[in-house]
Amino acid sequence: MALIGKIVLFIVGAFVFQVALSGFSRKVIARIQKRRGPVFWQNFYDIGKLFFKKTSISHGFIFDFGVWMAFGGTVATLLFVPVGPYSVFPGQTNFIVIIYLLAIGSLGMAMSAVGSANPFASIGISRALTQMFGYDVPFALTVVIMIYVHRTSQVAKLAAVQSDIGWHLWVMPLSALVAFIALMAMLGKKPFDTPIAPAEIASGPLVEYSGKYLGMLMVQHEFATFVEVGLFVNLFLGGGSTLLIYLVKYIIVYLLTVIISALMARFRVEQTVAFFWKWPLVLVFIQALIIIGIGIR
Amino acid sequence: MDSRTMWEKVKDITRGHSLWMLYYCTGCGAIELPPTMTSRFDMERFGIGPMATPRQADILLVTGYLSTKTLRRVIYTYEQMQSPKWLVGFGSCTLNGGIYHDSYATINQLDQYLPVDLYLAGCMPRPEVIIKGFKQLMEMIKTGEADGWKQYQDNREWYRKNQKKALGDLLYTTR
Amino acid sequence: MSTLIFIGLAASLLIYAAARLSRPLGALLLMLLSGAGVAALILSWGKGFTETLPLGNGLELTFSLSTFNWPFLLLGAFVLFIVSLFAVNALKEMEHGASFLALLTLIGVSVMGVFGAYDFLTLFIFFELMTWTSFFLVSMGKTGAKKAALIYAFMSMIAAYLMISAIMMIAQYTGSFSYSDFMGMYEAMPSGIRTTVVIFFLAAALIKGGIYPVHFWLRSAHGDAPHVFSPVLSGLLVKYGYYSAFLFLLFFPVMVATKAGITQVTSTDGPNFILAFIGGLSIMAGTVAAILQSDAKKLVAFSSVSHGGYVILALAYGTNMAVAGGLAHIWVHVLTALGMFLSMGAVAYRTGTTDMDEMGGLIKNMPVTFTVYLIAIISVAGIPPLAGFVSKWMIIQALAANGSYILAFMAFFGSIGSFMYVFRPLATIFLGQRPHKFKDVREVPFFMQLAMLIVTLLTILLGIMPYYLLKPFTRIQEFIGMVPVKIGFSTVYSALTQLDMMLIFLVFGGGFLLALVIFLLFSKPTKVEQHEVYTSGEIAPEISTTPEIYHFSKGYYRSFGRLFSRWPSVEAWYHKGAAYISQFFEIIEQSLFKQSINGFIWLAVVVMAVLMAVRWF
Ligand code: SF4
Repeated sequence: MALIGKIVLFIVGAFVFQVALSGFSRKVIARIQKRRGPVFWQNFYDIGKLFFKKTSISHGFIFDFGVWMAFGGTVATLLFVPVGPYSVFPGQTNFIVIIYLLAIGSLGMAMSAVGSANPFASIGISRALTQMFGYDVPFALTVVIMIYVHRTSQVAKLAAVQSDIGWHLWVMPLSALVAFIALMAMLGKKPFDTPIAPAEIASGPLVEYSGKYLGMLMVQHEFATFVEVGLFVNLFLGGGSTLLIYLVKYIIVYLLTVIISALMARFRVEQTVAFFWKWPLVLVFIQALIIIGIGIR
Repeated sequence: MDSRTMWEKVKDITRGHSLWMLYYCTGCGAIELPPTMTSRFDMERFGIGPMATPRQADILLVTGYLSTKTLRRVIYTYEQMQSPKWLVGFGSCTLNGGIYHDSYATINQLDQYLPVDLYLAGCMPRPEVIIKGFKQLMEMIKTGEADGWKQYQDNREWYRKNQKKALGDLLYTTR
Repeated sequence: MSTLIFIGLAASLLIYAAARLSRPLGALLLMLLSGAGVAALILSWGKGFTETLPLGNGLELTFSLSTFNWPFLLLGAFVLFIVSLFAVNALKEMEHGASFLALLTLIGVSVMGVFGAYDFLTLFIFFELMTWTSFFLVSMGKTGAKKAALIYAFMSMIAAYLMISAIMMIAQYTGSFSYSDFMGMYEAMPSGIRTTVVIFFLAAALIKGGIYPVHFWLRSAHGDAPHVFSPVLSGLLVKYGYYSAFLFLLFFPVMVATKAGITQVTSTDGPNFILAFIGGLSIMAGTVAAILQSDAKKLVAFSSVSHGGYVILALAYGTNMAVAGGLAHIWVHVLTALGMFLSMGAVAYRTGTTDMDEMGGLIKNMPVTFTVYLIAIISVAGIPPLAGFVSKWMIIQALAANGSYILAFMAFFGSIGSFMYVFRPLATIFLGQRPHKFKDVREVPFFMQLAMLIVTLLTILLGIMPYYLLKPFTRIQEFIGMVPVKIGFSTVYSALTQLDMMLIFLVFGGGFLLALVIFLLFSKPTKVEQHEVYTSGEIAPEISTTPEIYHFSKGYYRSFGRLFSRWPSVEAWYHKGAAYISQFFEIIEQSLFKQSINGFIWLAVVVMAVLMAVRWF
C-alpha cells in the first residue's frame, strides 16, 4: 500500500513540478526575447485543453498502441530514478536499465508516428533515431567512467558518493560538459531540434497527433524531461540530500538548457551526429585517460 | 441561459486560455502576424501560439482574400482540424470581398463556405485589433458562445452546397 | 549419439522420399524428429555420456553429451524444429523442396556432430558436412544465390584449410585428436606451435561466425539464400563459429586466469584484447552497414555480424560476467535472428520481395508477422524487459566493471545503432502508406504463424525469467571451473548492481495500464483512411499516394549515410579477389550445375563430404 502511495506521489509530483517548470521556462524565453510571456501555469491549460478536445484522429491500432507504449514506458522509467533522497524501488536505480527503458518510450512514439503514414513523421523519426545514435554513445560513456571508478551502477549510490569526493561536475569537468551537451540533445533543445523542426517538417513525429494523443505525448515528454534532467542532477551534481536541494539543482540545470537553446540556431542532422562523434567523444576519452592516470582525487 | 454543467465550464475555461493557431497566409494580412507574435505585442502572454499542423491547432486564421483555388485547401485544412475549433476571418477581404469584391477569381464572403467565429475588420487589421479580437474570441469561448464548429456539423448540407457552387467538381471531400 | 547420427542419415533419405510425395509431410517428419530432439535434450538435463565410434585404421570418432555442449545441442534442435514447422507451409512453391528438406536433415546431423564432438577430427568432419550441405542449400535461393553460394564455399574452404592445419598440428604434438588430451598438453606445447594453432583455429572460427574483416560472405549468403534457410544460416550455422571460438578461447591467458577463480581482471591481456577488439570492430561495422542496407534480409544479415561481434567480444573478454553474457547472447541471438528472418521470410512469402523501398503499410494485412517482428527487434535493440536486454546488460556490466572504455564504447555504439537499423523494416515494411498492389495480401498460413509465435513467446518468457536463460550457462561456467555468475529466478547479480527483470516487467506493465486508462477516459477518436494525413493543404489522393513519392522510405537514413560516404569498404577490397574466384569456380559451375541439381544433389553432398574428409589424411 505504501508502495502504491509512493508511486502515485512520484507520478503526480513529477507531473505537477515539471509542467509548471516548463511553463515557467516559457516565461524565461519570453524575457530573453523582451516579451512578457504566458503565466507559468499556462502548460496546464494547454494539456487540459488537449485532453478535453471533443474529437481526435486515429490512424489505426498501432497509432494508439505506440502512444500507450510511449507513455507507459516513460512512466515506468520515472519510477527508477531517485529524486533527492527518495526512490520508489531502492536498490533498483540501475543506470543501464534507466536509459534502455527510456528507449521504450522513444520506440513507442516512433512506431506510432510512423504508423500515421505521414511523410513528415517518417522524416522526423529517421532524424530522431539518427540524432540519438549521436548523443547517446558519448553520454553512456561518461557514466561508464563513473561506474568504473565507484564500482556501482546504481544511480542513487553514484549520487551519494559525491558527498564525499565533491560533485562530479568538479571531479570530472569534461564528462560533465559532454553530458550537458548530450542532455540538450536528449531534450530536443536547439541546436539539436532537427527531429521536430516545426518550420521545416511541420513538427516531425508530432504532425498527425490531435487532442488526447497530443496531450499524452506532451505529458510523456514532460516525464522524459524529468528523467533526463534528473539523471544529470544525480550523476553530476550529487543528487540532493533533501528534496528541496534536489529540486533547486534541477531547476537550475533545466533553465540553463532552456536559456542556451533560446540563443541557438539549428544543426542539420548529420552535423549533429558528426559533432557528437567529434568533440564530445574525444573529450570523454580524454576524461577517461585522466581518470585512469591520476585517479579520482 | 447557460445550460453547461460545471465540468463543461472548466473545459471551456481551459480552452479559452490556450489557443493554438494555424495561419493560412493567403493574403496581405499575414504580414501583421509577426509583430503580433514578437516582442512588441507578444501574443503568447495570452496563451496564443503558432502551431505547425491543423491536427494540433484550435483556430484557423484566414488572413485575407481567398481565391477559389485556395478555398479548396482551406476547406480541406479546416476539416482536418479537431473540434472544438474556431475560424477567424482576417480583414475586409474575408468579410465582403474588400478591394477584390469584383474579382472573378476570389470568393467574397468566407462565411458562405465555412463558419466564421470572428471577423477582424480592417484593410489590413493592425496588431492592436488582432489582440483585441483574440481577447474577444477567448471570452466567447469561455462562455461557450463561439460554436462555429457545431454549426458546421449541423448545417453541413448548406455549406457543402455553397462549396460545390464555388468549386464545382473540384471539391474533394472525405467525409 | 552415433546411432542418432545414423538415424539422422537414414531420416534424410526417408524425408526426401516423403517430401517427394508431399512437401508438408516431409516437413512435419523433420519437425517431429527435431522436436523429439528438443524433448530428449530437455529430459536429459544434467546427464552426460561419452561414446566412441571406431572408423578402423586406428581412427575413431568420439561424441559426448555434457553440460558444456548441452545448450548448443538444444539450440540446434530448436532451430531445426522451428524452421521445419515454418517450412510446412513455406516450402509449397519452392523448386527443390524435397532435396531442401533432406539437406536440412543433414544439417541436423551436422549439429549433433559438431556440438556433440569430443575430438577435433569429429568436429572437423561434421563441420565440412555442414559446409557442403549449406552450400547446396544456399544455391537454391533466388537469382544471385549461385554466386553467393560460391563465395560462401570459398570462404568455408579457407576456414577448412586453416582448421585442418591447426588440427593436424595438434595431432602431431599430442598424438590424438581428443579434446582432453589437448587440454592436458596445452601448457606443455612449445609456444610457437601453440600460438599458430590458436590463431589458425580462431581465424577459421571467425570466418564461420561471420565476424568483421571476414564477414562479407554473410551479406550475399543471407540475402540470397532461400527464405526458409536464412534463419538456419543465421540462427544456427554461424553459431558453429562462435562455439569453436569459445572452445579455443578457453586456452587464452585471461580465461586461464579467470578459471583459477579470479572474477575481476584489471588489465586485459594482449591477445584477448585483440580478439575482443576484433569483436568490437565487428559490432561497429555490422551496425553501420546494417543501417545503410535497403534489402531487409541483408539488413538482418549485417545485424548478425554485429551480434557475432558481441559474442566474440564478450567471450574474449573473459571475466565470468562477460562469458556468461556472451554465451547467453548466443541464445538470445538465435531467438532474435529467428524472429527477424522468419518474419521477413513471411513477408517475402506473401509479397515476393524483400526490398524495403517497395513496401509499406503491411501491418493491416499481416498483424501477427508484425507482432513477431516487433518483439524480435525490441529484443535485438536490448530494450527491457525482453531477453536481449539481459545479455547486453551483462556484457556492458562486465566492460564497465573493468573500465574498458574503448570496448564499452563499441558495445554502446552497436546497441544504440541497432535502434536505427531495426526500426527501418518496421517503418518501411509494416507501417506507413500501403501501395495499392499489396491491398490483397493475406496473413501467412497457420504453421508459419505458429513457428513465429513460439519464438516470440520464448523471447518474452526468457526475458522476464532470466533464470532459464542463464542457468545452462552458469552450469557451463561450473563445468570449466569458472566462478559462475550469481542468478536468481528473475534477478541477475553483478559486481556493480543487480537487475530484476520481473520488477521491470511489472512496472512497465503498470505504466502501460495507466496509459490505457487515461486514454480510455477521454473522448473516442475517429478512424481515418491512410491517405488522410496532413499534407500542407495538398489533397493527397490527387498526388496519388504511392510509397515512392509519399512514404519517404527510400533512402531512409541517407543523411546518416553521407557521413560515411568517404570511408573505405572492406568489401570493395575483396572485390578484386572475388573476380578471380568466380573465374576459378566457373569450372565447377560448368561441371556441376549445368544439369538439374535436383536428383543427385544429396548424393553429391555425401560423396563430397567423404572425399573431403579422406583426402586430407
Ligand atoms: S483585406 Fe486588405 S490587407 Fe487584407 S487581404 Fe484584403 S486587400 Fe489585403
